[in-house]
Amino acid sequence: MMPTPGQPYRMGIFAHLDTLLAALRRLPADGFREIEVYSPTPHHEIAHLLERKPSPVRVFTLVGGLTGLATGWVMTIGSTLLFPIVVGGKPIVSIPPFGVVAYITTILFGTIATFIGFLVNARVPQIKVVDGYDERLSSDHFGVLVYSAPERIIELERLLTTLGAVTITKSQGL
Amino acid sequence: MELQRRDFLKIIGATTVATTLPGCGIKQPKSLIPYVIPEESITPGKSVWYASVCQECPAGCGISVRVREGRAVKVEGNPLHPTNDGALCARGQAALQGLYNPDRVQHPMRKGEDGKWRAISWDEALKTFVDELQKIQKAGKGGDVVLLSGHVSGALEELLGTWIAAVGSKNHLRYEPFAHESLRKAQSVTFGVDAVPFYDFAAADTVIAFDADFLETWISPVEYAKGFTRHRGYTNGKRGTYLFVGPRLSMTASNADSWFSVNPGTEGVFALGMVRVILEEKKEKGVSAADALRISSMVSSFSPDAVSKRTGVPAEAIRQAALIFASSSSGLAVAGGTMVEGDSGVATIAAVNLLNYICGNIGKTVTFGPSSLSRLASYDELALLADQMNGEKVAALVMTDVNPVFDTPDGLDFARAMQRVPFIVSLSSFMSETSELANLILPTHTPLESWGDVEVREGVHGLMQPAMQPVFDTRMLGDLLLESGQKLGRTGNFPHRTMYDFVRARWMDLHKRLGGKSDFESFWVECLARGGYWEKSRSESHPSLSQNLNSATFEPLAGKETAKGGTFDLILYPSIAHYDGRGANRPWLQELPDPMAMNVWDSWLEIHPQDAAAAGINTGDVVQISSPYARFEIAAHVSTTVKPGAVAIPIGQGHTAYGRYANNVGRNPIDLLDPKPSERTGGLEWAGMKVEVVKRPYQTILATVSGSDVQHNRGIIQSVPLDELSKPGNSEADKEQALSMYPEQEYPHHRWGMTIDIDKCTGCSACVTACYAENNIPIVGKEEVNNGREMAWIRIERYFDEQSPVPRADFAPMLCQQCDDAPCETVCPVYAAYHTEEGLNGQVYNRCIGTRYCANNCPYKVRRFNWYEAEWVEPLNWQLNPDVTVRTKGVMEKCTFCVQRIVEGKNTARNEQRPVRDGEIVPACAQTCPAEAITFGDLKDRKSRVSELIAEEGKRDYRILEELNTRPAVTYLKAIKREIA
Amino acid sequence: MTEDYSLNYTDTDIDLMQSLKAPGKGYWFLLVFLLLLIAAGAAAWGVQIAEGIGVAGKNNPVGWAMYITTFVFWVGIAHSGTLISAILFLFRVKWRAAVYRSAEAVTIFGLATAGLFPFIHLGRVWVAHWILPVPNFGGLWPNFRSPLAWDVLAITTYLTASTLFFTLGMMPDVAIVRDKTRGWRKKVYGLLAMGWQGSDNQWRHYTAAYVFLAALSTPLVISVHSIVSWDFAMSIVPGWHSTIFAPYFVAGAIHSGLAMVVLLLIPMRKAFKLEKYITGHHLESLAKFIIFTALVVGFAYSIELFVSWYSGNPFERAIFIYRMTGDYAWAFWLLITTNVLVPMLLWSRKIRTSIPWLVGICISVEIGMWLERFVIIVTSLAHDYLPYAWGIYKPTLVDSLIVIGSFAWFFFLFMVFSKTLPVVSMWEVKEQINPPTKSGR
Repeated sequence: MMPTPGQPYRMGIFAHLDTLLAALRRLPADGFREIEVYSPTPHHEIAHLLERKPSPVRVFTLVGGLTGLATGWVMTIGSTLLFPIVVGGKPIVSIPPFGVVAYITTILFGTIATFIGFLVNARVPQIKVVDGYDERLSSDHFGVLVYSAPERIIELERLLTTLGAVTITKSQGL
Repeated sequence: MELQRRDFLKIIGATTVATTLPGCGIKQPKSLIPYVIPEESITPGKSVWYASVCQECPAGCGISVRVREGRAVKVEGNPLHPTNDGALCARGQAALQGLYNPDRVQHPMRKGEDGKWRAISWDEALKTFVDELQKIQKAGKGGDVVLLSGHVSGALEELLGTWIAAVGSKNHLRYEPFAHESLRKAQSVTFGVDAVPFYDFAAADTVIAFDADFLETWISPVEYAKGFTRHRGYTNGKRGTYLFVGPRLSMTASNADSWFSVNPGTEGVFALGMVRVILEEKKEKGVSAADALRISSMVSSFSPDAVSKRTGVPAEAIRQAALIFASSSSGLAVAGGTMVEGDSGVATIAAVNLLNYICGNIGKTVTFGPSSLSRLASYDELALLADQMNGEKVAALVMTDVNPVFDTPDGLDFARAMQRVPFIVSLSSFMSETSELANLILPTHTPLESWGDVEVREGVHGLMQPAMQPVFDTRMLGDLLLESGQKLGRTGNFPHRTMYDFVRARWMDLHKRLGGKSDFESFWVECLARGGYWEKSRSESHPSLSQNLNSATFEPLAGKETAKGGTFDLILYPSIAHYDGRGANRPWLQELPDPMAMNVWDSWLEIHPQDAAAAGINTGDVVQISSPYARFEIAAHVSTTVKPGAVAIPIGQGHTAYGRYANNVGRNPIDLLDPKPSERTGGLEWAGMKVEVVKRPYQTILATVSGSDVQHNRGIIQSVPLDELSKPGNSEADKEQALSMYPEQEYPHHRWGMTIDIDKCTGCSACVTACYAENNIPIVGKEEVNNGREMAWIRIERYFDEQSPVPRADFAPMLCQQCDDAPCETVCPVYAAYHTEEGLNGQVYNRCIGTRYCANNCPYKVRRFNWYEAEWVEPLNWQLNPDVTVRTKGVMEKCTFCVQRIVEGKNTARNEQRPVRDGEIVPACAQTCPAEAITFGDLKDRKSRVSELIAEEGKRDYRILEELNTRPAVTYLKAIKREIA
Repeated sequence: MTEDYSLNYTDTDIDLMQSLKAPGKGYWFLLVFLLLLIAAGAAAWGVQIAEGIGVAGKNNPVGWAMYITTFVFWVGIAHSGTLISAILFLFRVKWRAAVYRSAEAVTIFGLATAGLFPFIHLGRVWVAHWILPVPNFGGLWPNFRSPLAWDVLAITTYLTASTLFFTLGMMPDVAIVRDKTRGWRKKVYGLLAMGWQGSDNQWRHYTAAYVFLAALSTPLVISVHSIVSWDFAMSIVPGWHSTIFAPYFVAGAIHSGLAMVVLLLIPMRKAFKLEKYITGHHLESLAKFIIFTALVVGFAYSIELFVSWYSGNPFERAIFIYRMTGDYAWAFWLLITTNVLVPMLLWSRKIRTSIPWLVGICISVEIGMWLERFVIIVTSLAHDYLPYAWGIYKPTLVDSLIVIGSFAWFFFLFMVFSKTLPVVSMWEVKEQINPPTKSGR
């Protein structure tokens, strides 16, 4: 359930992981389901509570790898058939050495695709960080970004405070 | 083979005829750069062949010069010439570097008061020349003018004669450092004829050589090598025998079945020992009882044991040698060369004459007849001249292409003597130690630019014609003589204006003498095309034993200690590359590894490992060698090529004024010799000198191309005993098809291949120089050779036999093997090395990026990398073969089987709408090989000579490093070993 | 989570960003010194291009020498990085977090240095592009049967993969620096951080990508040096043509790589006071690892010798006898000592925990590994099949300067890195330590 563009949100900054986790359990119960969490390092507790789908990056990796494999074989076999030059009395299409090439291209394409997969999905590079981003988030604080209907904003802010947010930052405009 | 060869000859002949007539058009000097005035005779891209005669040594081989766009680019043996029959030695090949030598005298020069050379005009030069001589004539001193020339024959000899006569003098010395004095004296002593005999190696099935290096420099090496290997080469079960007697394992010696390393100076003793054995065994042939008796009385004191004591060879060996020689149907014993030309030379050679005589070889393999060599001045005449000069009895000295200052001992001090001569003129192509001392130099054409004819041996008329316009502002020697002669003598003596007219006139006479059936013009053109005229009948005398031959003749062999000086016997031998030193200014020859020592750009002292160990000498150490007459330092080369107690130095290096390539390279050992001529021989005592050798505390660089003297039992050179060959047995047994993971290669048209007969290869290295000339291979100089960067595409690998108790060496020409499954090709990342559809390992120079992986992976190490940009000195670069690219720095190169010749051959065939004939395409190496050891052809054609050789020589064919399964296209034929005593 | 660290999130950042403080005199002095050496090497290369490869000591038959030796050496150095960062990551080895960043830097800079040599050793470097896998010279492609063509691909792939891995791991740390700095630095690092903010979605894709990159890099550790070793093993040169080359070279690579990591970590932790993060425990673990690789390498040597004897192949035997007794015997025995015998000292706890000893032993290993490649390459070429063609190689000023320059180049890159980017992965260290909690549990 992705938020609709321009929907207002509040971000609660938490100093501690356990309070954050508590908040994450509480917020959905109160009907705030559009949540994003910011943390200095990945934490499986957070991922667990948010119940996200597994990342599609692996698909990129697979496709990239297979493309590489194909490219390797096509490039080697194709180029030799294009210029059928005999060397050392070996067959024009010499499978073993070409296999080496195919293997390398598999990995090359695989890695590049994986990285691209990450960039695309994680939406980097981005020009600017999200409004209300707090510099402590990369270091030792945790942030919960909660979207809400404009009429419930006040309620949300109150809730975040009670949950132990040290600071509450807001989205552009409202 | 014969048939195809003849075809090939016809082709050559034809081209020459077709092109000679217009060819004459460009003889007059017009412009140094061809093409300013395009000649109708010059077809771009088309080779023109001019037949001529080689003048690099007195042998007088026939050559045909390949001319492209008006420039001579290659010299090859003339296939129609009876002397060398298409082959040519390294020195002959290098004649081009004489023609294009950057250090030639390029214009007339006169020496000023300050002793500095000053360029002058030809008019001034000729005027001075004539005026000075006329002054002398006026002063009535015409008789005191001396003309000093090298070995000359034919037109030039006649002309020089008339010229010096015109001046009013009788003094014409035909001076050669190696004038065979003992050889000639010995003939007159034994047979009463003062002549250099003719030796017919082709007719001899048993040859025994006493020091004569007849495969290297002696008298007519190419002719001898041809005849020798043709007759000795293995053909259906038979093979000639060849023994060598002498103190040094020369290249010639290492070809022998057995080398008897006798003590220096005892060769004659050995011969007499053989004579005695033969007579005792009653094995003599065609000798009258009286003669037999006479001879046996002379040799009575030379019992095998006595001889064994003197020579250091076991008595049994001497008996064996004698019996083998006597039992041969036609034998030939030869003696000569510097190692014999000592004080006892006459006796030694006379002894060998006896050997020939009692075996009935005189008149069969040894014949006598007029030869220009017999007219050479002996050394004592030159010594006499030196005296006269010192006594100021010489008014003027006129020299042409001689260098006595270099090739006579310092002791004679010819240089000082020359300073007492008021007027010295040098008519030479090169500056030299001698020309340097002249007052006037009139630079002459090299033989390749000159008209002339040569008749070394009577009846063999070689015709010389210019192959191209003069390279420099020089004149033809003949023309100079005619022009000056007309002024000096009565014009009547000189009816001809130019050498060309003079030669033509001589040939008109010859034409008449031959009863001129056809008209002269066609005869003339024919001869120009053929390179001369060879008369069938030769006047040959069959002399009998002279009466004044007696035991006294052999007195010098009695064994009284005659040698002077120190502890080591000194052996000087003419270098195969530089002969008497005249080859030293040819960079190709400087970079040509010595066949035995494998060193380049240097001279060295060969010393036996025993003696070396005793004196703590290692190869590369500097040693001081001293005789009563000279002392100098030289690099030591520890080697078994000399026997203990002897040291050897090659002759030819140590120049000081012979151009950039020759100067300050090596030492001139001639200075060590006694300047006094030998009373017995009238010659210089080349042998018999004793020297001291002292180690010096420092070392020098002796640049060698050999990484190892032995093959570490790797079967690179394989041999088979003769008796095993003659045994019947199926040759296919040992030939199971090598297994391969790869598909068989398909060759739609040709599969070029080569066979190299190790048994025939003499190691003379003519192929190496031929390859340099054909394929634009750069020379790199001593330092780079020492760094292991010589560029030779074909090399002669010399390996000493590890098993054999007596030192013996074999030679394996090594070039790209054009492998079927070539390791070099696969590893090239950019396909610069690839396989052509005719089986060649192609190398695309401009695709090469220089990883050098191919060279690393080549088991034959025949790939050559361009470490630097090759430098081509003007005008040596005129010689570059336009059919072959010049490679840039950073690319790999290697033997191509002369692909340019293959292409040319295929084109010719296509134009004539016929298949390529076998033997019509010949790589440069195979073309020039005097031993006919290299055969090239199409392996797909079962009837090609090369296929036949592989098949017929079933038991002898092998491929080097066959176990690697690279499937080379080059098949080697095993050496044949025959153990004697 | 772990006991290794009595640290917390806040201090971690503060401590680990010490390294980004403005450098002192010594740093600048060293930097300039290295630059001079690099300049000398570059000049030497210039001379070589102008004059021809002849100015380097190679010849017939020794077509390869110090350049390829140093190439293989640096590729080897590179390997430890990926080993530590990827393989140890997959095995969840805890001590990896502290050291892997520097190790990866070693990989990248090692490759950046190694990558120069294939060009330096070419006879005609100006047409080097013909070896790239694109049609050139009239549509002709490179020859993919040539191990050199594999090399090009393998090295590029390796460089790409490790650079991506490095960049990915770096991103969150750069973000930290961005958030902790002000002024132009903030702008620069902000750009580099590419707008990373550690949202759980980003982390989700991030960790996925991280695992896959690690998984893809792992085979490279094995394959790249195997392929490099095939430059030799695929040829028919005696002493090269051997099936054990691949594992043998990989082991050697890791041997030298680990030593290099240690050599870089020790001064670094000293300079940046990182003892709390890069502890004795880390160095000791590396030291133990080096014992292992030393044993593997030693085993490889003995097998190599045994096979050459057991094969009965005269050429193989000749080569190994030549190695042990010939012109380069000194190098052979020196490498055996420095590579195998000296590291055995690490069995003693006292020695492997003593910094000076550790440094000394690691230096000895580097020397040994360079010599190993030199001996393999030069001796085999110097004495192969035809005795007549044997020759020996002598180094010259030019190729020596270039080799020295390459070392300077590597250390130069590393020094620049150490002052501009976090040398220890902060976010991964945090992963290892207890997150801040109210309860304090």
